[in-house]
Amino acid sequence: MKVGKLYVVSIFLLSATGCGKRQLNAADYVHYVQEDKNHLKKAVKMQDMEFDIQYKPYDYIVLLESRNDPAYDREKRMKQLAGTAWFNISFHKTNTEISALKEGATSLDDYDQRLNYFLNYASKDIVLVYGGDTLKPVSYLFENNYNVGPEETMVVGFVFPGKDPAPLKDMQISYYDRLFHNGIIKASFSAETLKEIPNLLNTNNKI
Amino acid sequence: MKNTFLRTVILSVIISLLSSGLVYVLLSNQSRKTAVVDAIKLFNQYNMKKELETKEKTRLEAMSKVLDSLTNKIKVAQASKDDQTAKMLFDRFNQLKQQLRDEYNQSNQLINQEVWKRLNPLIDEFGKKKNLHLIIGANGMGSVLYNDEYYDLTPELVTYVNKQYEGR
Repeated sequence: MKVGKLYVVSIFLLSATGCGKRQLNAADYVHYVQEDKNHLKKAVKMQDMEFDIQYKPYDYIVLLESRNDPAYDREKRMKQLAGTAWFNISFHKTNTEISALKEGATSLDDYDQRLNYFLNYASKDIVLVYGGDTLKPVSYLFENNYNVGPEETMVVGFVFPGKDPAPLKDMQISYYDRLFHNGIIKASFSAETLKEIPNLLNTNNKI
Repeated sequence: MKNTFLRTVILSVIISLLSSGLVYVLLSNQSRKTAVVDAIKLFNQYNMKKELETKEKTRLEAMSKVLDSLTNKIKVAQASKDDQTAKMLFDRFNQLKQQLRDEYNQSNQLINQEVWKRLNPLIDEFGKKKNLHLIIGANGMGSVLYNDEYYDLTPELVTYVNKQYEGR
């Protein structure tokens, strides 16, 4: 009898804790998304290079974009983002502070060719497997930091087939690194991980 | 009398020091873990290697189709006794064949390089996680003549590297 009661109470407690999503303020939300242990940021390490793939939930994008813009229209931006998935693919050399684009480049032409690849061709080497669909990027931007830092970033966006308002299925992004010959870089984000992303406590909150 | 006693004490101290040293060496050797991994199996069963090969295969097959079409054209030229055209096509055929061979060798070399670039840090990581002190790579060239299954961590390492590759 006692065991039965305990069982019922445990189930009640488990379901009660599972129902409500965590609520975080703006700063904590950004921190949550960027923290490795929450599996929204994945690192792929090679001998002399590291790739970091960051999945960017809509609230995260909005929080970063609205930082220095008092007239930022959150609602409008959220509508634009609905049905899409956004990632940052960043890379840097682990054995030097010099940008991977510059490191080992034998001439200005060599550097230009590398830059040209990231500006015009790298997007063709990126795909997202969403559920059973293989998607090509609808948006791509290479953030050229003009050698002010060692890290370079590709920003890439995909549109979901069907009517998913936000990612609901397992996602796997892959990038075939033809330039530095590191093979295929993959990062997976499970539906479970996506479901666990907390809600933003106050949408008017800024970081 | 006193001398004999002192000698016995010193001797017993030396013996106990030596035996505890021996026990320490034996125990520390026991905790030193070694594993054997079939390097060829690991390489061939790594998902990235399979995917890179599939990508390259598509490209090389397209080149190979051009060669097939040239072979047909050469046959037609020979049948119609058009020696000049046949020779020109044959030169082109040889040129392309060499190019295909070079591309094939280069792609093999590149896949090899890319795969080991990824596998090496993963093997290090695996060794550290499993508290291993040594991983011996068996490659069928005689470096490992025998090991029982206890020491063979190939399947476990293959699972590990593929899981890491898939980004999970």
